[in-house]
Amino acid sequence: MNNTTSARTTKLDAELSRLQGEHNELQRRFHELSRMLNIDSTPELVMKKHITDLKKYNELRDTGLGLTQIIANEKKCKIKEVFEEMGYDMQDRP
Amino acid sequence: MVYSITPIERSTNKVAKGFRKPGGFTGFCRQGLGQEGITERRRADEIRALKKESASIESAIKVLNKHEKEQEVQLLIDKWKAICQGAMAFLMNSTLLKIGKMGGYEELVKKEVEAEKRKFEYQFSDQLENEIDGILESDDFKMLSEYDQEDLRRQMELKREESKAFQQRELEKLDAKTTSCAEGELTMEELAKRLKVDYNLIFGE
Repeated sequence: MNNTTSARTTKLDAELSRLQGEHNELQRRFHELSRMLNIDSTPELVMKKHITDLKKYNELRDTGLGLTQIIANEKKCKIKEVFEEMGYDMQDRP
Repeated sequence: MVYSITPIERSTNKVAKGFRKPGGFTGFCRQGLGQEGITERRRADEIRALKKESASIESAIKVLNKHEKEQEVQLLIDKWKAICQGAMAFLMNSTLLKIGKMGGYEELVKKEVEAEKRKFEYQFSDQLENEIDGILESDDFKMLSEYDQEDLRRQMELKREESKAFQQRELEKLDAKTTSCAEGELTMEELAKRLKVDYNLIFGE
């Protein structure tokens, strides 16, 4: 049994070593990109900001559409007309 | 080495009195998880942690690779924030005009509180009275002894009093709402609350 365990541990050691190499390479790429883009952050914080921004955009868009709908109802016009009056495009075009 | 006796061993001792214990269950576990086993488990844990960390870095790299997309989202956040702020300003003006026609903000709150009070009184007392009437007129109640009927009436009276006290407290809360807004004005924060939108999302940093 000990021989089998030992063999498994050796295999795991090799796997760990390979993963460590990959991990180091990923870290190097992350730092390189961060330097290029002038970003001083950690991978966790980059992801956190990415998710927070998407959530914020969605919430603001929903709120904005809801509010302009109220105005459209009040003015008895189309929501598109409210956007035109405000000088904004209803669609988010890149 | 001194091993403490686990509950399993203790119970084994009790049941199998007179028999020789074959190694014992915990002894087997300790043998199975030797130094090699512990090392193996530690390696597996390290691999799991490293994979998780690498996945996180990989995701962050993907995000950084599409940096323009992030900037675009930032622009869209600004756009929709401006739309929300503009819409709120419009709604503030139109609401102030309506409030002016109604006789002022205080008058509006007073009317709202009165409506809330009426709704509350109607719902609350009517519901309880109907419930009590239903019990008193039921066949089950009529079949009870004089003593039990009296006891139940007393319980219901107690419930009625508790309900009245609760109602009183709620009405006082509503009255306090009117007092707190006396000579006040409708604020953007209050309007946001009325429209059920997040004030901080629209006007915050």
